[in-house]
Amino acid sequence: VAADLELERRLTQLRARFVVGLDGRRAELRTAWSICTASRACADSQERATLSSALHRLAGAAGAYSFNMLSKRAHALEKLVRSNSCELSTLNMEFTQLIECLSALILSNKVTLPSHCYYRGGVQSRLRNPSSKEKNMELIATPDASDVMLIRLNEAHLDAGNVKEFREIIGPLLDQHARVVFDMSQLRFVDSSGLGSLISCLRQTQERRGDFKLCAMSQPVCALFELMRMHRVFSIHETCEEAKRAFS
Amino acid sequence: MKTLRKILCAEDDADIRAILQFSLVTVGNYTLCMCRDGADALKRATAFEPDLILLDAMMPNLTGPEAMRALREIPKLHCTPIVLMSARALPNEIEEVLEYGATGVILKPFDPMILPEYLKIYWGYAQRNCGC
Repeated sequence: VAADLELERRLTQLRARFVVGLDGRRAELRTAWSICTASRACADSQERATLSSALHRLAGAAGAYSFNMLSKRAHALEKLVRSNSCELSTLNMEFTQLIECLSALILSNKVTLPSHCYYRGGVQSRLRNPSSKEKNMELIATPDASDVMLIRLNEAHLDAGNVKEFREIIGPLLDQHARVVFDMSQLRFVDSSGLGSLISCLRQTQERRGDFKLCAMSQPVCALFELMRMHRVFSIHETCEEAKRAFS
Repeated sequence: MKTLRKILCAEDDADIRAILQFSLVTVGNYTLCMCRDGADALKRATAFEPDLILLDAMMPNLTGPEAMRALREIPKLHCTPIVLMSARALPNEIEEVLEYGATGVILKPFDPMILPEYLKIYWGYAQRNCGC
């Protein structure tokens, strides 16, 4: 626990340092934007490349530091600038929103960490954080007679925006159950952090001689798993029943 | 079996380099050679002899795929697993870099607490499938 807290502390320091540096990134973007828009509606490819490169770096860095909204805005604008098929007025609006998002972060200069989640056990448990007014992640955990726990995640996305919450909710469950079938029928998108959290679940169960089997994957998620070669890492089944049978 | 210890990483953004350093050294406990771009990685790879190479896909001087092709030409590094980090998640683009010979692709944004686990998996995969 002490080691985890130390890692968290260092990560918080890095995030704070990143926020301090946003001032420089905002200035860089404004300069690149002025030059780009001055050159006949962003038509000059060299100027566009400079602007899209700055946006690309901002999107990547903001994402790595979990400033997801900023990352998404920068990424969206980068795509528009690259495509060069967008009206200047639309670009202007997107750019203004991005700068507002950046400025809000610079002004607040605060690093907020996600709140801890609450879960409760039971025969069938809906696991969510009851203390928050916001909509929270919901996991439905159903044990069966053969000591296999079926867990369904009622979310369309498992990504950097909710992966921490997912880990906090599922972690204690996996401490109690090593034989798990994870129902992915509701999921339509999984990013690298979501995949990473599923790998952690797999390791956690395998360390206790269990398994974390996946089932009912949607087509886009299945395609991503195959491309990332994750289908060779996980035991993946078409239905929950088939996955449960694979334990026997 | 050989273990994953030395990682050579190339990334052009200073903030991302800082979080990669945290992830790979502090969380993952790896020995890290951090490079500023693909050309820098190419310069330092032979002497460092990494167990695994992690490259950003979009970098100035040499892009990730360009650096990967150049690194593959170095006999010593012919079998070294190379993982690319990319913000682009289009399946055909991921497929393309895998066809170029990447062991895997990490989608950005990555989770710094989980990245070392990912690399371990790719490392294990490369060890099992390497014909060298």
